[in-house]
Amino acid sequence: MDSVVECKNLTHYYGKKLVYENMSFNIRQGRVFGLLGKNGTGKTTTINILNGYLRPASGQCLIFGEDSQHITPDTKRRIGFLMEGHIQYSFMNIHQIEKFYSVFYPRWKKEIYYELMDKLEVEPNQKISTMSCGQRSQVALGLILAQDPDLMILDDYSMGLDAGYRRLFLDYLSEYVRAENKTIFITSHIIQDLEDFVEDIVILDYKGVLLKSTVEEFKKTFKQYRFTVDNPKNLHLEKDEVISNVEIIKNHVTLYSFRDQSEVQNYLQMKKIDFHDFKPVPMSLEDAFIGLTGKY
Amino acid sequence: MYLAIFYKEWIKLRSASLVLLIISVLFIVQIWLTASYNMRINGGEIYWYYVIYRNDLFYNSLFFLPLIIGAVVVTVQFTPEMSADRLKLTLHLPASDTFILLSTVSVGTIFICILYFVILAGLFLVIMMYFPIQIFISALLTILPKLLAGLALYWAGAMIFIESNWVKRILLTVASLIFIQALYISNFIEAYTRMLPGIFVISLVFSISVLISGHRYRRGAR
Repeated sequence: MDSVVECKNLTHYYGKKLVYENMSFNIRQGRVFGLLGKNGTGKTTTINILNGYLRPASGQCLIFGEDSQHITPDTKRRIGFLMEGHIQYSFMNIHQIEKFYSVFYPRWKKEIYYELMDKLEVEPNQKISTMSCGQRSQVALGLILAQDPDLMILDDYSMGLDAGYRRLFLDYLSEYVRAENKTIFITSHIIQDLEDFVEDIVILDYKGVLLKSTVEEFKKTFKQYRFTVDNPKNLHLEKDEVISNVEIIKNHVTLYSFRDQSEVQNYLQMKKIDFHDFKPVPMSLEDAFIGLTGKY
Repeated sequence: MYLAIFYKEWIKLRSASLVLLIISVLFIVQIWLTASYNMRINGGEIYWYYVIYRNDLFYNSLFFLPLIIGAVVVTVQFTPEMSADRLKLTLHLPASDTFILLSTVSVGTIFICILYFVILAGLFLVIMMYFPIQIFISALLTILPKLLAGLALYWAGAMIFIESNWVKRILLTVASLIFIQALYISNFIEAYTRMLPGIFVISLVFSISVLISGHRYRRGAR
């Protein structure tokens, strides 16, 4: 499969603060790619670089083979862009905004836009600025779907949405991706929603890329173990090549690792840790994300 | 595509334009009433003497109107674009950044020119009621620098709105205000006539300088 997006050795700073260094990833055609990370880890920065709104300190992104800093109008036409907060032209109403955008996109699908708008209980002449956050998200989604883009770049689609609107948003997106073999680049801070939607992931931390994988592979290889210790005060466990993360609450220890059960147990024994009730605990994608990145 | 951009800007500008149109007409009515009053109360001979020999600028209430028009149009057009970084949406439209930026600014310029046309047409009608065409030409030459100041304010304002670096924004504001203020140093009749070509060229530079701020915005300069 061809790469729709190819980012190579991206490095970026805000002032002297390093956002990430030498980050590389590819997004293949027809895949749903999730860029996950806590607030401030560089998700929106990456989207700005991808759309050509930010020049990285070094490195390059190619979209449909074009340098993201010099995207031609024809390539822009193939990219649907959802801004964080579902920002749209809020001074327009739903008919005006449809009329405006339709001129720019030859493959414009008016029906899909109005199908979504029919679900909203809004007045025909109601300005977008007076709509609820959920309604605005549907307008933004409807406009992107109507563009019929080959690639959708969605910056934190979940911001400000309740569970119902988040579900509606993803249901429409899933339908779109499966039916049309489209590619999606999505970021979100609500990981649980993406579990059954995203296929490939990059997880960012404050120091850069923590993980590049498929969701399936990540959930299969990243494990959570729980055990108890008699004397937690003497327990000194830190992140290393075996331990990806560890939490100690009283005498209960939760340990995250890419190693299997026997390897972790051998490691603890080698460290002369007296542990009991060692057991693996199944994780959701969100559990695994928090396990890898930590709660703070 | 240009018509689509025109449509978007029209939605933003229509209410403000109507208000500005009413204000412009009120200014013209005020000039007409003043001229009419002076003709009736002082008599034609005395009023002609004041206008022709004493250079009474009976239309000087129009001098600051172009600045009001320029400031309102640029604010109404660019506040929605810059709030919540909505300009990113506009620059994501499948057209070149240069086309999008110049189209947007051209729409504002067209609106301003239409308002100017109404003002000048109204002034022409008022002047032709009481004076010969030479007085209108003289008024036109006197008021033209102020009209260019309004356009320069609009173009400079667009550039300043889009500029993302605060230091550069302040410097551009100071430079623009110095130029505009220079066009208000003298309110004497036809004071700027010999400088009009130069003023016109400098004003035009402001019109394309929006591209510099636009391309800096696109590159993410802060």
